[in-house]
Amino acid sequence: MHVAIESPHTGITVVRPQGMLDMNSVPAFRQTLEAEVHRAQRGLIVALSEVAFMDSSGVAVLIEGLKWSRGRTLPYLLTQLTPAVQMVIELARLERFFTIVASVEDGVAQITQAS
Amino acid sequence: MLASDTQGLCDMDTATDRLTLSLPSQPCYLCVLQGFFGSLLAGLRFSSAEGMQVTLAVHEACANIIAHSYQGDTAQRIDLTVLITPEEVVVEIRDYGSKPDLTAIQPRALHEVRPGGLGTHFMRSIMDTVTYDVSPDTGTVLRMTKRRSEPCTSP
Repeated sequence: MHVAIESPHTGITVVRPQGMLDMNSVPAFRQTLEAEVHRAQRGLIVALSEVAFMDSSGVAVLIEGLKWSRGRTLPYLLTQLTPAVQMVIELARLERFFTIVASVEDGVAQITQAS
Repeated sequence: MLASDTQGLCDMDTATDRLTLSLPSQPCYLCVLQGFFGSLLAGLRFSSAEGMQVTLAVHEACANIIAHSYQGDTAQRIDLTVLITPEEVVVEIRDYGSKPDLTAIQPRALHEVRPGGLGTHFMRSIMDTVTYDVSPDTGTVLRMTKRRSEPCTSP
């Protein structure tokens, strides 16, 4: 799996996994996500528009990311959920656990307004 | 595969149709399930959402086998058999590893927001039945069924 890292605004990191987020790819993605959570200064956005499939290990690492972020009081947002990702989050009943925004731009605005 | 390639599947005489797929117990091969079940279920006129859900349930089952029955041993095999009837699709997943403790296979309570334990919840939420047959001398047969919203009729 390839993970693109973007910085659309000072201190804000966008992590964009591409492909399948499952038991095969999650170990590498987990390392990247953990490193970026600790590197981000103002907030982290996980953009999921290029995730074609996600299983329970994928949603588990998203939960871990949120918990690492809470440890740093770092805003942590999800955006651009594909139908496959949306389905898994709904099956896990985590829609209200995560902060989900419509776009990266909305996420950046939310983070900058809060900080 | 083009949509038109699978549009006629539902009109076949599906009473005894049976498909098989054998996978090495390596996580990198689980991606095969997306193409196999995605195309098959679309051809059987399951909705796109149902197709994604059933694929997820099978994926979770195979991932559990690799992680638990085979404990990460990538030199083993997972045999899938799909039985297609006018009323339902049955997926039998055979492994040859250690047998599960059936009393320990429980979906976790969803109010506990933590990693792990979701796969079993997904399988039970998506499929109409989920049963484990531990009677074989070696391994387990996991049997899951998904009923069609509308029965499929032969021409």
